[in-house]
Amino acid sequence: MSDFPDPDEEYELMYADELELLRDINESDDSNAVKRKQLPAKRSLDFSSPVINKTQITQGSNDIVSFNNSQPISQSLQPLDDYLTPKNASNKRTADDLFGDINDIDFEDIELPSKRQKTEEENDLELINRILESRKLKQSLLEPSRVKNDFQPTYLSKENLSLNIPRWPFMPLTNSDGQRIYVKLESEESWDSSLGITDQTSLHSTFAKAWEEARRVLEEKQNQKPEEAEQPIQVLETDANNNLLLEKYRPQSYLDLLSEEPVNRALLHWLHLWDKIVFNKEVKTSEPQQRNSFSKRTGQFQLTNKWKGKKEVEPEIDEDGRPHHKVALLCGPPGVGKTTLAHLLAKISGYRPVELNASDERSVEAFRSALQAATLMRSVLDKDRRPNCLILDEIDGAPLPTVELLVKWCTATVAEGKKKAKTHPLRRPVIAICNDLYATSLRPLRSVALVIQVGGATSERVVRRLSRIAAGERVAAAPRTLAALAARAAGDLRAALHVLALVRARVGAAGRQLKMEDVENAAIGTKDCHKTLMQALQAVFTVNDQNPDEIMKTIQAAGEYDRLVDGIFENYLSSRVDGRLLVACETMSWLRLHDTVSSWTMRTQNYSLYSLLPLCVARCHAVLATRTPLRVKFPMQAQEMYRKRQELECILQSVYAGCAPSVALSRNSLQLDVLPLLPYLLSPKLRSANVQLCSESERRSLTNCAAAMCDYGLQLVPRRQPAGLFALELEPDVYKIAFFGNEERARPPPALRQAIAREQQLEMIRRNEEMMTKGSGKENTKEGKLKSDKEKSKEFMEARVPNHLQRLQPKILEKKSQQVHKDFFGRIVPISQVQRSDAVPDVISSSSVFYQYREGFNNAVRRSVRTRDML
Amino acid sequence: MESKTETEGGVPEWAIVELQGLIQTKKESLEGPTVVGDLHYYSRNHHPVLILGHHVLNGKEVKLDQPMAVIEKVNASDKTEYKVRAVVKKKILFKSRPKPIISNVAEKV
Repeated sequence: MSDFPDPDEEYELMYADELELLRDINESDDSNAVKRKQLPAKRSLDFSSPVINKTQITQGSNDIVSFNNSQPISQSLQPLDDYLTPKNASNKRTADDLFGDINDIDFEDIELPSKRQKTEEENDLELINRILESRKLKQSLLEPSRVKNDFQPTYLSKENLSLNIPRWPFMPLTNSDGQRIYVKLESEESWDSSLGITDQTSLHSTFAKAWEEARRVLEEKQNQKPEEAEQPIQVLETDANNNLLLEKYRPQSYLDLLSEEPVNRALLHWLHLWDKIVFNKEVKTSEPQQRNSFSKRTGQFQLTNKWKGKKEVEPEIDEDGRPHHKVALLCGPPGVGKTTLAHLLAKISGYRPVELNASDERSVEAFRSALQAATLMRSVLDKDRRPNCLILDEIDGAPLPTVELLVKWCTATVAEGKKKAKTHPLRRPVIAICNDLYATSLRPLRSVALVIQVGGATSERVVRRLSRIAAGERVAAAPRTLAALAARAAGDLRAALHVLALVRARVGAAGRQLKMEDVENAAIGTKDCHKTLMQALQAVFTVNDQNPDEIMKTIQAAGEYDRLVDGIFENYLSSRVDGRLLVACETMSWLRLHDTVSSWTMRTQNYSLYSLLPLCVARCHAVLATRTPLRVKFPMQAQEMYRKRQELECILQSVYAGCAPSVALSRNSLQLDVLPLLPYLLSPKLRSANVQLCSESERRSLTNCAAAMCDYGLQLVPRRQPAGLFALELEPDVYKIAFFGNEERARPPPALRQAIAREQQLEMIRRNEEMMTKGSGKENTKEGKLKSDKEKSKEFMEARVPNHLQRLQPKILEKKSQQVHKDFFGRIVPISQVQRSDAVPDVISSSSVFYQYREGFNNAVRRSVRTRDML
Repeated sequence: MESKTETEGGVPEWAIVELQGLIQTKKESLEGPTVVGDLHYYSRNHHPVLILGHHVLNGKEVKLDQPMAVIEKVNASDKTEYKVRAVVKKKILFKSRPKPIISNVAEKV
C-alpha cells in the first residue's frame, strides 16, 4: 500500500471492474483489473463486493460516457470508497472523511501544504500520502509484532468470486439481491500457507495458553484469599453449644451482609425515613447518589417501578412525618438472607426487632394484639429502651383478613386515628417478608408497601463467605469444592451452610480434606424450589446443555403431568421444523403412551406405573428441545374445549328434555339427524318481516317454523345485548350444535325473529286450546252414556267456548228466611211488634234536609259582589 | 248563607253562615219555613257546631274584613228609605268534611 497509483491509473483501477464486466464478466484473468483486497477469512461471506459490482455495472453503463475524472462520485459508490484505499482523490472530501480520526497523527512534523502552491487535487493527494505514511509508522511503533504480518497475502476477488458457474471448486451463495455468487473453495493448508500463519501466532494456541495462565493465577489468588480475608468472623462465644453454622456466622455488621448492596441501601434508607417520627430527628430526604447508579448497573436487582416512579413525583415522607410507604415488603427466594437483612438493619438503625412469623398464631385478634404490642409499646426490660421494629416473617402464609388488618393499620392517618379510637396511626416501621410476592393474600399489601426484591447473592460472594466459614471451622476445603457447593445452592446461603455443616460432620472425624465427592453425594442442599408449570414447559422445549438430566427434576418439581402434556400437545407443532412430521409422530407416540398410562392409572387407581408419566414428558423433551427460543403458550385449549363441549351438551340435553312426545327420538339421533337440519327449518325465507305481505307458501314455512319450535321446545327470548338493546335469541341455541363456529350467518335477521316469535306464541295458544278441547271431549265421552245426545252436544258447545270468551257469572245469594223472634218462653213474637218496639222517632235520620259536602277549596272562584247589585 | 241574630246597641248583629257544600232536601217542594239544622256552640271553646241532617259540621268564627249592613228598602208613598236591619261583622265558616251521625244502629242481626 505504500505506492499509490497516479490519477490515470487510479481511474482505471476504479472503473476497470465495471468495464471489464461490461466486456466479459467471467473471462478475464487480468490482474490489473482487480482490487487489492484482502479476504478477511476463507469462509466468511463477503457480500459487499458483488453487490457493489452489480450496482456499478448498472451505474457504469449509464454514466460511463459522461463520466470524467473530476465528477463527484455518485452515492451508490461510497461504500466502496471506504472499502478500497483512497484512490478517488478527485472527490472533494476532507481527510477526515476518508481516514476517520486523524488526530492521532502528529501534524507538527507534517507541514500541511498550502493550497496556493499546488492544485487542490495534488494537495489532497499529498496529504493522503502523508497521513497514510505517518499512520503506518505510528502503528509499527505501537505494535512491533505486527510488522511481520504486515505483508499480507493479496487476494484477487476476481479469481475467487464469480457470477457464473466457474471451473474451479466453489461454494454457491446467494446475496441479498437474490443474485447467485460462486466463491472459490480452497484447502485449509493452502490458505494457512498463503497467510503465512504459523502455529505460534495462531489465535487458538495463544488463547489456550493465556487461558491456562489466567486460570493458574486465579486459583492462586483464590487460595490466598482465605488467609488474607479481612478478619475471621468473630464467633459468638456465648452459644458455643449451638452447632448451627447459620447462627454462628450470622452477619454481625452491615459489611457482612451478602445481599446486593442496592437492596441493603434501599431498606436502610427506608428505615431512616422513620427517624423523624420515632427518634425525633430530622431526616435528610436527599438520597444517596450511588443507589440510583447501582440499581441501573446491576440488571439482576431492581427496585420496583413504583418506587422509582414515585421517587420523582411524590415526597417520600407524608404530612405526618412518616415515610410514604408504611411497610417494607422484602421478597425473594428462601435462604438468601431476607430475615437476616431485616434484623440486622433494624438493629443498625437503632430499633429492637420484634419478629412475628408463621409459627405464631396469626388470627386477626392475635395479630392485632401483636401489632399493638409492637408498635404502640416500648420494651421496659431492654436496658437502652429501643423502639420496636416489627418484622413479619413469611407474611404470604398469613390469612387474607390478617393482611387486610395490617393494611388498614398502616394506612390509618393521624386524623383518622383521632376520630376512631380503634385504629391508631402506625408509628413504628413494619417490615414484612415473603417468598412469593404475588401470593393472593398479599394483594392488598403490595399496593401500599415498598417492595424490595432480594435476589440471591452472587456465586463469588457465596464462595468467599463459605471459604471464610470453612477457615473458621477449620475445615480444609478446596476452592473448587466450595464453588461447587455454592453453585449447587444457587444463591441459597442457608442451604449451602447446611450442606457444609453436614459434610463437616461426616468428614470432620476423619480429619481429611473436604472433597468434591462429599458435596456431590450430599443428598440435601439442592434447592427444593417449586417449579411452575410454565417453567417446566419452557424447559421441555429448550435444550439444556449444562445439565441434560435437569429436565427430569424440573418435570417432577412441576408435577401436574396432565397439564404439562396438554402444554406439550399445544406447542409441539411449533417447536421444530418438521417437514416430514417425524418429530410430530415421535411426540405423538409418547403422548399416546402417557395417555394410556394415565387413564389406566386413573381407572384402576393403581399408581404403580405413575412414575412412567414424567418419563414420557422427558422423552418428549428429547424429541422436541430446540435452541431457538420458543414462545410457549399456556395450555388453555383443553380447558376451553372441555368447557365448550359442556355447553353444547347442556344445549342438547335441554332440547332433548324439552321436545314434545310426538317428535321424541333417541338422544343420539336427535343430535346427529335432527339438530343439524333444524336450523334450516327455523329460518324461513321471507321477503319481508311483515307476515301480512307474505305469500301463502312463505306463510306456510313460517307456520312450519313455529310448529317446529313448539315441537322441540325452543323459544325466542329477548336478551340484553352488550350494546344495551334487546334482541331475540333462541333458547336453547341449537345453532351452536348445528354449526361449529359460523352459526351467526345462518341465524334469521332480527326483524324476522320477531315475526317468528309472534307466530310461535300464536301456535302455542292454538295447541293449548286444542289440548283443552281434546281433554274435555274425552270426559264427555265417559259421561256421555248417561246423558242424552242433545245435552251432550250442548255441553260440548258450551265447553267449546274458548277461555277468553268465558265470563264469570255472579253467584246468586240465597234469600234468607225471615228471622223469627222468640221471647223468653219460646213463644213467637210477631214481627210488627218487634219493629214497633224499636221504632223510636228518629229526628235526625228522618230529617228531610241533608248536606252534600263539596270537596276542594271554596275560595277557588271569587266573585266581587257590589252593593248596587243587591239594591 | 246567612243569619243569626244578636243585639248590639239597638241594631241586631247577624252572622253569615258559610258552608262548603249544598243543602238539599228530600221533599220536592218547600212550603213555609223549614228547619234546616241546629247551630250550637260548644260551651268549652265556643266553637260552632252545625247539625245538618245526619251530619255534624265543626266550624269556626271568622271576623269579616269589612263589616256589612243588612239594609231593607222601604218604599213609602213619597220617598224611599233604607232601613238597617242588622250588622254583619263575622261569619261562621264550616269548611271541614262533615261527620256522619249514626243514630239508628241496626238491630242485632
